[in-house]
Amino acid sequence: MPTPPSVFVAVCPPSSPLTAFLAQAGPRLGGAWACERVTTLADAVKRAAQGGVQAVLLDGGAPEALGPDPIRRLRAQVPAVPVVMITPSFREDHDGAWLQQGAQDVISLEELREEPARLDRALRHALARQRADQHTLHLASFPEYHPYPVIELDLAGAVTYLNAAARARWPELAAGATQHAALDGAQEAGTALQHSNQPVVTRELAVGDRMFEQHLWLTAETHQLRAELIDITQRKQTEHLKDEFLSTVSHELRTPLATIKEFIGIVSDQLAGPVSPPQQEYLMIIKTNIARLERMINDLLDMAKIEAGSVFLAKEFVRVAPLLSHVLESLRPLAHTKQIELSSDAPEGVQTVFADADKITQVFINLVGNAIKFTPGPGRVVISVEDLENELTFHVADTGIGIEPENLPRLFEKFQQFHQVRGETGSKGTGLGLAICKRFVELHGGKIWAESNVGPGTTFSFTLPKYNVEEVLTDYLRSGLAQAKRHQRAFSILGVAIDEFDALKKRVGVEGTGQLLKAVELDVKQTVRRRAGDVVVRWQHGELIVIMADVDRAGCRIIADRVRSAISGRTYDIGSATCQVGVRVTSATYPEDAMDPEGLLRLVEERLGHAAGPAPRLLVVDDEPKARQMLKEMLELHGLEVLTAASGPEALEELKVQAVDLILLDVLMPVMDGYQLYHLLKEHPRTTHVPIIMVTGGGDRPDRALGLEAPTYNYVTKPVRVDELLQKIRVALSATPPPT
Amino acid sequence: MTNKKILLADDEPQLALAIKIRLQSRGYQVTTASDGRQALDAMAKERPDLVLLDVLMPVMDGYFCLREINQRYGRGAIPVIILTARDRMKELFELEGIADYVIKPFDHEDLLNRVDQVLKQREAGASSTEPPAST
Repeated sequence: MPTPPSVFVAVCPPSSPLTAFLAQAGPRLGGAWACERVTTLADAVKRAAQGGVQAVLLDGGAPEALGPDPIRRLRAQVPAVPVVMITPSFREDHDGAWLQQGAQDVISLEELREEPARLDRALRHALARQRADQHTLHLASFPEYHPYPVIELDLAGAVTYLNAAARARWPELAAGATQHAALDGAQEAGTALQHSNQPVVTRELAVGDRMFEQHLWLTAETHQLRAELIDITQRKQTEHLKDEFLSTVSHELRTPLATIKEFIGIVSDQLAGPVSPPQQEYLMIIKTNIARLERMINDLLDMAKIEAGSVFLAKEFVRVAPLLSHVLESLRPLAHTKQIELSSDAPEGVQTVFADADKITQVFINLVGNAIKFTPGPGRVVISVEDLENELTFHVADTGIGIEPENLPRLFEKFQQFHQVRGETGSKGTGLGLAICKRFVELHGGKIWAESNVGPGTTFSFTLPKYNVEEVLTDYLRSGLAQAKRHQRAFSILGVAIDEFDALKKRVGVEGTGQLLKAVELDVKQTVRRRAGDVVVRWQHGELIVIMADVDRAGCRIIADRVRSAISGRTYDIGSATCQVGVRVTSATYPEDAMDPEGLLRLVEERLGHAAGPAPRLLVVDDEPKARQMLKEMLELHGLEVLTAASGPEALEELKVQAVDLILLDVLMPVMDGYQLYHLLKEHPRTTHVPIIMVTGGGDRPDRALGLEAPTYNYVTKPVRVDELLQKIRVALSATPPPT
Repeated sequence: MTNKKILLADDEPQLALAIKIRLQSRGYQVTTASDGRQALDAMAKERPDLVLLDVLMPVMDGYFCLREINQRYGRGAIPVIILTARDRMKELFELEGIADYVIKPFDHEDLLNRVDQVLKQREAGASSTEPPAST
């Protein structure tokens, strides 16, 4: 079937030469075009609106063509249809004007007469140009009308373009602001993009009180850095709510469950009358299931805490042998019922790890419990320990059915049902056990992994560090200094501290900080050119200590300068972003500066610390707006940074995001009184060391009502006397132990 | 085995009942209170040999109740065992003088043993060790 000819509408009066030409030329256009003739622009618009019209031919001799802006009027009404202008005679000076009005092509009637095929070419050309224009139009509408803010920067970091959404959201940027939270780190990311094969950098960014996901890429055409910012505040809030929900629900489930457990126990212990053997059996079933529910709730709570970042390790030196025997003892009954031999071939000798014993016990119980569960009896589960220089590696090996290698990486993901991965059915858990193990081990600075072949069983392994870095530092210092004294040599320690470490940590996140510290440490090591006896130890709050044997004061200064310039001049690549860091470098040398390790260390710490020293930050918690404002203004006058909260819960919220040096607590507040809040703050590891000053009103105070002296509370009474309060604040701040 | 009197202050009445039943099974006489104020009132009526004290309670919390007990009867005169779900407040309470600190959820057997222990020590050492401070 032949394709129907494309239609063009020609606007020309009946008597026009063009009309005559078209009448003649019709067949010679090869049948590809069908011409429909109209006499006015209005008719052409009407016809085009009906559809099927590919192009409009406008006769330059038509009366309307001589009127104002005929093509523009036409195109305004049917923008998708290209217009070809036919001028009566060849006049180049006019062509430009027609094209400017929006004609896709201009041909003179003379040209057409000479070469009739020219019409077909012009029409096809017009169509092609129309399509290209459309495409350009699409391109132009992105990013301009993209619903998210889009910013373009040149490679020097200057803003070159803002789309409508960006201009509306951040007028200050449109007004030419060069420093802006929305631009933070963009230039660094751009540099990183230039030097990597990564097409896009994605990161999270806080701008004002909103959270954004920022995608950065280099546009191929203009070689500019383009940033698209998607507002994810809502999503973040939802995630936060989910975590909170999970935590609250788990807590709320615990109380009724504990009650059920207690009374089942009372009944089965026959404290409420005799129980028959079958009843006793059923009570056992209930107990087993309560225990299962308890485990699941505990898992959920653990995970919620981990996700909320509120898991803190109570690390100490833990002896491995007793910990392992405790684990074995508690799981032996379970192993026994399945005819599984449970043993540990930990080598003799005292081995210790620097760890949180409860968390590590939980990891073991989980791994060994799983091993027993997935090993058909008779079988074996063996715990073994590998003693390495700085760490211990633990293995839990079973003789179970094994895991497909491709499933191994999935094991430690959240909500993975272990038995599904292992291709078995059985009692389901929360699928959180191994994910929790992984997080706990990683919090200790260890690694966890699994090895398996289907058939011969599975081995889970994890590592734990053996030492406390603090301990190691002191040991090294002591022995290094003893050596130096014996050989009458110099001995120096170098301290490197990263500027504005807290802000940096906030910006690049915990993982990013870890990567950054590693990279900086490597640079320090390379710059110092370590010799035997030199050690680099301890990262703490962005401070690194380097011990250098046989380096005197002058040598130390040279090295310090070298370290400073090596680090300050470098851009660090940390995963998805890059950053530059400023450092303070200082040193202390034996025998000039101090004679003992403690003295040297203290000196370096002091010199590092004094470079910073921001104003102490206080949190004022008071439900009375006036009192709150008064305290804030007064304390700010004295150079303190002051945050405020109007209630106990608000204070707790504030403290989640802001660390403070001291808290001023009003005693009489609704919802949660000062004393309740005091207890909560003192029991939370993050605030337990923060000094608290209670502000008590007159009248019937609980402490006075009880006739107590309240020696453990630090008090001021309302109305607050400025000098008294400042004195108390000074004392409390100077007595605070440095955070560890 | 004994007819010693124990005062139990906890604002969870059902859990308190469970603890009471367990204590009674060992022969203790148990009185319950649901906040610190009630506990002090009950003590004024009849002096107990030991107090089991929850911490987060309405009206008067365990911390103030403990201090008031020590104030009224002399520090350590009446042994107090703190029962709490919080594990980080032990030092704060030890400053005030307590006989023991038990973290919830606890094993009832463990709690009973601790109660026995405290009362046994008290009996053995009542004459020899520190005399109760006068109020």
